[in-house]
Amino acid sequence: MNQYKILSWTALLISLVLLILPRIVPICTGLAGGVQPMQCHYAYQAEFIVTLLAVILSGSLFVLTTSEARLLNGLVILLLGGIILILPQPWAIGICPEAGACHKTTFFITIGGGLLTLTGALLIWLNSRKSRGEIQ
Amino acid sequence: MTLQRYSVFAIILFLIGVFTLFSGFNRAPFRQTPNQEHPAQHSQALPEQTQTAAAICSPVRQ
Repeated sequence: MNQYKILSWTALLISLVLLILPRIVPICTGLAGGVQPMQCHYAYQAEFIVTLLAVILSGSLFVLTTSEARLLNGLVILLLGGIILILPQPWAIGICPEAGACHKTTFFITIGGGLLTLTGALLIWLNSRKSRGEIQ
Repeated sequence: MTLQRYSVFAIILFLIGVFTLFSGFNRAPFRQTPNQEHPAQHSQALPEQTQTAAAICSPVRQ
């Protein structure tokens, strides 16, 4: 299996894990004041959409044929990984200020987001080498 | 699989995802009990402090 296939599968697996992570490691299930969802709910609703897009783009790595398209795809995956890291930050949407279930979820999603970003970077590097003709 | 066929699949997957988000299947369901969520809000706090702590952990910033 070549390097590109390995990276494609890695990106797809990481994205799928990130997509279902809030079900496996749930965020806060309480309501603020018994009425309204807390900040972490909105952060993880946004995370779901972003990870869904990451899954779709990771899947498309298997059908793209040109190095340019694969490079662009890797770039978008890198940016999506960055967004996954940014959303739980207090200056973005944020999570609960006190320690809670959402902090545990955020710990794992930070690891996953970092790995996805790294995978995107490796895809860019690999396909920039290919498009320059250095490797086949 | 061609890119065109994958695009159709991707749109369907996206719509399924949006429906999942809308219906709430993507997260654990909300608790219906009025129990406090965070340890900082438990026991030691006076009722006013508990309400203040709940307000801090709330929701959407204006």
